[in-house]
This record gives sequence, structure tokens and C-alpha cells, in this order.
Amino acid sequence: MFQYLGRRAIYMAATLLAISLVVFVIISLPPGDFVTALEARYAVQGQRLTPEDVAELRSRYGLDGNLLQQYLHWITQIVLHGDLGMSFEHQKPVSEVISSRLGATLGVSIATLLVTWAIAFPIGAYSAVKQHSIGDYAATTIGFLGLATPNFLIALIFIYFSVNWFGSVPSGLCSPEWCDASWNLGKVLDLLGHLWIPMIVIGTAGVAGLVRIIRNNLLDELRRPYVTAARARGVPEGRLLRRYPLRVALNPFVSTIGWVLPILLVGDIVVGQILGLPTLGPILLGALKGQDMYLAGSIIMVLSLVTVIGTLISDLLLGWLDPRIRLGYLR
Amino acid sequence: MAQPLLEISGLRTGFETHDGTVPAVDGVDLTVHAGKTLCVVGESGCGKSVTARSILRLVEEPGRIEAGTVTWHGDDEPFDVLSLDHDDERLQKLRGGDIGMIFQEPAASLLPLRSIGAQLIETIRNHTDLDKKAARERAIDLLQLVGIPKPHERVDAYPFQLSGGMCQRAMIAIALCADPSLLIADEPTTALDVTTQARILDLMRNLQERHHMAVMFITHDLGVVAELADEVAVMYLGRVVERAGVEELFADPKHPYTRALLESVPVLGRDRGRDLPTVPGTVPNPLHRPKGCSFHPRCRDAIAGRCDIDEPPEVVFDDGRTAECVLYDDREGAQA
Amino acid sequence: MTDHSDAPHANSASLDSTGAADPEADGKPATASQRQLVWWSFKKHRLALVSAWLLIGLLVVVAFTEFLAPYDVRHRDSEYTTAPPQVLKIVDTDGGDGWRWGLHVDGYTSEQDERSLRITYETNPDDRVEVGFFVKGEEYELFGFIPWDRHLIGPKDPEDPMYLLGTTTDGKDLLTDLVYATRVSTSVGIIGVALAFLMGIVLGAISGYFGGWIDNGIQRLIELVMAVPAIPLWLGLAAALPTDMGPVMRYFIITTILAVVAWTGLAREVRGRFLAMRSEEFVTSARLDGSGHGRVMFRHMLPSFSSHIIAALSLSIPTMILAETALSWLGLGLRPPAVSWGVQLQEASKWSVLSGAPWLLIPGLAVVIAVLAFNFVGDGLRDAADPYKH
Repeated sequence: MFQYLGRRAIYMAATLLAISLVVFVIISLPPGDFVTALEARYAVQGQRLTPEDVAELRSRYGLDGNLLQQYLHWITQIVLHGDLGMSFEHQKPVSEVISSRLGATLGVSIATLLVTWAIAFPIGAYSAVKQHSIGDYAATTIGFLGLATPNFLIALIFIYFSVNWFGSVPSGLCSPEWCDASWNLGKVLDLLGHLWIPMIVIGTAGVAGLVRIIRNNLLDELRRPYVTAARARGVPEGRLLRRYPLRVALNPFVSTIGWVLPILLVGDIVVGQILGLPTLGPILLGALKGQDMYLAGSIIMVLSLVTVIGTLISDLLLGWLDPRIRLGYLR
Repeated sequence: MAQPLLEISGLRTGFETHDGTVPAVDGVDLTVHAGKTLCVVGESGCGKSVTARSILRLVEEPGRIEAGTVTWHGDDEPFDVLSLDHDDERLQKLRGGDIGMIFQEPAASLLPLRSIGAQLIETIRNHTDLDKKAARERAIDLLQLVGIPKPHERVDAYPFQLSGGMCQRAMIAIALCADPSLLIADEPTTALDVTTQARILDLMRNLQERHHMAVMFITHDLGVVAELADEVAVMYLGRVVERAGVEELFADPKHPYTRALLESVPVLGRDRGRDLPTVPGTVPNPLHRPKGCSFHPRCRDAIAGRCDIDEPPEVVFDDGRTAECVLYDDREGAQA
Repeated sequence: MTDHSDAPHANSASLDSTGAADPEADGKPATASQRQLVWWSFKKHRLALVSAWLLIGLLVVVAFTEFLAPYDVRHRDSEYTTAPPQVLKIVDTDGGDGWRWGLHVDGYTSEQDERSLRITYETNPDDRVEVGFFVKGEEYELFGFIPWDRHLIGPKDPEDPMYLLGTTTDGKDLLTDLVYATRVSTSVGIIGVALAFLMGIVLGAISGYFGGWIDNGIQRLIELVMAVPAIPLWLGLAAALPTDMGPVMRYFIITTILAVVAWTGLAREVRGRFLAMRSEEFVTSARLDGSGHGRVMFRHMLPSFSSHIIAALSLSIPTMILAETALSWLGLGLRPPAVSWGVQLQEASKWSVLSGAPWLLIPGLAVVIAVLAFNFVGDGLRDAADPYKH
């Protein structure tokens, strides 16, 4: 188990390193850097920076030297001081911009993830056990549609009906009267009342994908010899299903945390944009469009970190669920 | 003759495919006698495994048992297994209780996620009133009985930590949980290497003697038949073509197919330096079963105008053995 | 343990060698070629067959875009902005003078809201716009070099409005845009997958050919690229592009970005298939029969392998299409004047506009249909690639 843990940890560190390199490349890609942008802004205000000032600023922000040195400066600032750089648009340290919205983002995403699972697992299981039934065909059809429909399209359709039926689009995560209130039942209910919309929009693709995965896995497992063998020794059908194939089919399900989380987070970009949620999505989109690269890069970095942590959690869960992985018989 | 324990009669099991129903088992009659070993032998695809699975109704989609009866005489009242409801208690009691079953791939037949002990205890508690602790004791005893060394430790081992032979022993232990009166073994040694094979066969023979079980042994290996069987049924393309006691069968095979099979077994000394005879041709596709006797295209003794037109009769000989072949129709010793 | 010297089973002949008639095996006569088997199996997949026809239709649209679109893509009619779709009619019953046969659509009447100054259009049955096939319209060059001016369908009088799917907020014909967008979006998918496949097969081949530490290194590289979440990576790379890039350049760069992120999966598929195939028994037996490396690879391995690859490719295309659509919709992918499904859907994202003009969502339908069609064909191929499996 410890060997397994150690291997996962090393792998995670390597992944993070790779991600940081990619993010740094993204940050450095657009022509000009933070100081060029500063220069431009001072120029607009009528101030001219001397070449000495510019060089001064560059060395202060760690932007002198070659790319490798710049990368090292950037990464040490992050690792040692938690300094992600300055957001040009927000005129604030990136970490401040992000931290104020990270909570809501994670909240919406995790809530969606849990709901996604809660919906997808029973549908997928039903679909596999009752293969070729009407329910199975319905689930499969809806699943295909869900996977083929971009989630922004779902959001747009939702908005169309919402505007034409109710005359407005519910936006934000809370109604004005509850937003500043302290936590109580009313606020929780209000939050839930708002949360279901982004959940539907963000979660559809995830549910469709997961239903398909669980169905295929379970269909595979149901045909394995151990199912017949268990039936042959008189394990009752219900328990047989629960303890044997469902248990095994749960594994790949758990290992999807890694890829479902980023999909949910990106869904948040779309929905956050349309519904005006106080999440990272809209900020990221704004930063990308305005080429506010430190902010954009950092958000991508944070999203990737969340994904990597998600993957680690799912690896640990897998190790706990599956002795083959825990004992190192299967990678 | 011993008491019949299980009687299969007119069993038909088919598989739905895009091109029609494939009759894997096409009218099989078999009887297993209490305390005796019946070996069912035949090439791949002759329907012997499907027959075995049909007994406990384990045939999976797209397979379906279409006709026949499987009568169980092990209880006070004989009953037809195939006509029981799905949730009939007698079916549950039969599966793993009165009838134990072991399979071709022992490692794949055990759930990888749970220890063999857990799977053993589950079955014990299913079929007995033992509590958890007593069931665990019994599990360890059973593992000891089937010759697994250090059963106290192995009881918590996972299937993937054991060799194929050990897994098959564990499967046998599970099958023995409730002292079954019949053990169905579906090619239990095919996936094992030769020495392990021999040990498992030894174990089964010992257990059978000690527990007075009947055994229905499915195999394609005539050597195994010679070693284990009391009675033999030879299957070809979903039908039993010959049925006999083991000595009679080896001494005087009646059906041309049985003869061809026996000739293809190498004999030490005799076969040195010469090619081993084989059964010519391959098993035909069951969808396009040859007309008349399904073996006639490969049969040396086939009679043109007869074997390729008429279904062969089942000939019953004086000593009770049978063969489905026109060669013995209206001949000495036969009562058609 | 007893002595087994008397038991013949230890070296008895196995009767299982034929292995021919497993009851679950497919019952085809053994004379069919692999290609025939795949085709037979594919034909049984009805949804895949229908989808294959849809895809052929899609390719026709890509090839004959200029001819199929009623107008030029730059056509802009400021007189009719956000006009609703017209219904194509073949007979006019309410003209007063009996039935008037002939293909036509209803014209528009406009109304201006006095306060908001917003103009709304409605179709007007009294106004008849004659419509014909192969009408003369704006000039174009078919396939880029055949000058022509006929369009499949259009108003007989070029001055008349014919907007079968309605118009956009700036008076462009939605149908024309959709036809052009189909070319762009589909080709992004296909070219992107082709690029990714090229990268994948080159690296996969290097990986397989050299083996050892090179294979190891490439595998680790693939793992790392796969570990970086794809979609933020797409977004980041797309956003880092210079904003003043021309539409053609942008099209190719965006396609390349999509391919760069997607090649890993395909590379793994190729390599995995090759490795698995190498140890298959039929490859070994072909080798033992004395076939050369080339014959084994091209006569034995490739045929059993190509349908898997085609399946993997056609399953990757929809992912690409969805990614391009999302990127463009977010404003990070293709930009006007380029039209793609995603660019078209941008129009619909303001809800004040969308609520009065639901036809702006029609390109979304095109996305869903195209993605489904590619998926079904891919699924069908994947299932058919193993004709003996079920």
C-alpha cells in the first residue's frame, strides 16, 4: 500500500511539473510581457518609462534573463511565496482574484459531481441489467443526445424556454434578499433553488458519459465466469448483483473523478458566463479574452491542480476498493 | 444398478444469433447415478458444457433452454428443475447446496475483489445455519480438506494471489460447502498444467470416495475418462451418440465417432514412429447441421443413401449401453 | 499422491484443437474475407448505416458548399435583420384567384416598435416570392477553379428575400451561413484528426520500432500530456494566439491546437494495437508459415487492424467538432468573418436576441446531428471490426 501511495505521489509531482511547464509556455506565448503592458498603460496616462525603468521593472518581476530563468523565478515565487503574479485587468494579485471565487467554483463542481454520480449510477446499472428493455433504449438514446450536445447549447435552450415561460433568467447563486444573510435553512433552500440550474447544464454531459461507462462496464462484468460461478453456488440474484459485478463496475466509475472534474469546471465557464455565477469560469474567460495571461495561466494551473488532486483521490479510493491495485498486482 | 440421482431427458438449449437459433444441445438424455461418476466427453462445441449449465439453469443470454426435463431425485420428492420458478427455494437449495459446481477457469470464477474465505463463508452461511465464526472455522476446515497448505493464512488470500491449481481447490472447497450429493465439474482441469491436473483429479477421486458424491465430469480428455469414470456419455453436435460403462466403452466402442476418438489417443509403445490418426474433418457448424446423421460427413462407415438421409436410430444393447448409429440397427444383440 | 504412469491422460490428444463450432461464434462460411465480414457486420448496425449516409451527405455539402448555399457568404441584407424562417410552399391557396401552383415562399412585412425602435419581421402570405432551382445568383468558383453562378435553390428575382432558415441579427442568411459553417466545422474535425493521427502514428511507430528507452520515454511523455486537463489547455493555447491573425491562418492554428491536444489517445491506440497484434497467434503462425515481415504486416496485421483505426478516428472527430464549437462559441476559436457552427451560435448567446429568434439555435442541431452520426458510424465500425466477437 505504501509503495502504491509513494508511486502515486511521485507521479503526481511529475504531472504538476509538466503542467507548470505547459502553463508557463501559455503565459509566455503572446508577444510582450507584463512590463510591456505596464509601459502601454503608463503611455496612455502620458507617462514615459525610461529604458532604465523598464529594465528595473523587468528584474523586479523576474522577467529578465532567458526563458528558463524566467520559469524558475515564476515557479519559485509560486512554491515559496504562493505568489501567482499580478492580474493586469483586475489590478490585484492573482491569488486574491482566484481565492475569492475558488470556494463557489469547487462547491458547484463537487455538488454537481455528486448529483451526477447519484443519477448516473442507477441509470447505468439499470440499463445494463435490463439490456434491450425500453428503459435501456431510452437511457441510451438520451445518453447519446447528452454527449452530442455541447453544454452551452443546453444552456441556451434552457434560457430560451426560461425567458419565454418565466420572462427572465435566474442568475447567480442566491437571491438578493439572502445573499448577505448568515447561513440558515432559508438561505440553504434558496441556494439549492439556484443551484439546480447550473447543475443540470453542467451535469448533463457528465451524466451521459458516466451512464455509458457504467453500462458498458457492467455488461462486461455480467458476462464474466465469476457471475455464473456465484449463481451456481446459490448466491441470491440481488446480492449477486450488488456484491459482485456492481462492486467491480464501481472501480472505473471512481477512476473517472479525474476526468469528470475538469469537464465540470469547464462547464462552469459556460454556465457561469450565461448565468452570472460568482465562480472562476467567467473570470477565466475574461482573462483569456483580454490576454491577462498571469491570471489565465494561474486559473488553468489551479484547475489542473484540482484535477490532479481529484485523480489522486480517485487512485486512493481505487486502492481501497480493489485489493489487486492495493497489493500491486494491477497497475 | 445404483439409484438415479439426476435424470436429464429431451434437453434442448439453443442460442439466438443473427442468423437463427443455434441448437447447442439438441435432445440430450443422461442419467447420473448416486455415488457414481458420469463422464461426458466430446469435442469443443459439442454442447457438453451447455448441458452441464442447463442443469442448474445457468445458461446466459442469448442462450435459452427450450425443452426437456431435469429431474432431481436427491430430495424425498423428485422434481423437475426446469419447471421451478426463478425464486423457488428448491432451486436455491440445489445451487451450491445439493449440487456443487466447478468450472474451467478457476481464477476467473472467483471474484477478484473478495478473499476466497469471504466467498467460502458466504456460501456456507447461505446453505447452513452456522454463525460467522463457525462458518469461518468450517471454511478453514474445508480448505484443509481440499489440500490447501496453511489454510489459516490462505483463508484471507485473494484469488489473484493463488495459483490456478490452488484456485481450483478453493472452488472445490466452495462446492463442498453443504455436502452436496452431486458435483458437476465442467472441464475443471483444462486450464491447468499437467501435474496440477493430476493432483486435482486425485483430490476429486478421494473426496468422492469419502463423501459418496456422484460426479458429473465434463471433459474432452479421454485419459481423464479412463481414470475417473464409471459411466461415459459421448456427445457429438448436441446429441449423446454413445453411452456405456467405462470398461465396455474402451474395450468395444460401438459408435464410429467413439472409435475414431479412441484411435486418436496415443498409446505408449504402440504409436512410436507413426502418425497419430485423427478424426478427419472438423465439427460442422451447428447452424448447418448435416442432414441425417450429423457425423456422416466424417464417418468412415457411412452408408450412402442412408446415413445422409435418415436420422440414426438409438440402438439399445443387451447390457443397457446405447449408440445412435444405423450400423447396429437390426443386428445381433441389439433391441431397436 | 498416487503414481500416474498408468494414466494415459498426461499426454493424451486434446480434441479441442479444431475449436470451430463454438455455439456463440458467428456462423459465416469460412470463405469470407475480412473486409466482407466487417461489411456484413456493419450492415446489421442500422443506425450506423443511416449515419454513414448522413456523413456522405455532409461530405457533399463540404464539396459543393458554394452551389448549395443560396447566397454568397458575404451576402448581407440590411433590410431584413433577424427575420424568421420562411416555409417553402408549392401551391398558393389564398391568393383569391384559385390555386396558383409553383414553388414560392411568403415575403415579409416589418413592424417597428415605437419606443424600442426595434424592427420585427413576420411572413406575409399575401406577398409571394417566386423560388426556383438552379437559379442565377452571385458568382463563385466551384472547387476553387470552376467559375459558375448557379445555386441549387434561390429567389427567381435576386432582389427578393428568400431566407428559409431566417436571418441573423446583421441580416445574413442563416442557411447560407450554415452551409459554409458545415464545411468549416466538419473539416476542422477531419483535418484535426488527420493531423493528430499523423503525429500519433509517427510517434507510435517510433515507439514500437525502437522500443527500449525511447518507447519508454514517449510513453511517459504521452502520460504527462494526458495528465494535463485537455480543455483548459485548449483554452489557454487558443487565447495565447495573436489577435490580429487572418482567418485562414487562425483556422489552421486552431486545428493544429486541437490536434496537438488530441494526438495522445490515438498514439496509444496505434501502439497498443500493434503490440497486442504482434503476439496474436495468427501473426505467429503467419511468420512460421514463412511469410516475410512485409507480408505479415500488410496482408495479415493491417487488414485486421485498419477497421479499429478507422473506428478510433471516426470516434475522435466528434470530440474535435465539439471542441471547436465550444472554443469558437466562447470567442477563443474561429472568429468572424469565418463562419463555423460555434461562431454562428455566438449570435444566440444574448438572451434578449435569442428569446425572439429561436431559429438562431439551428446550427446547434447541425452540431448534434453531425456528432451523433460520427459516433454511430464509429461505434458500428468498432463492433464490426471484431466480426467474430459476438
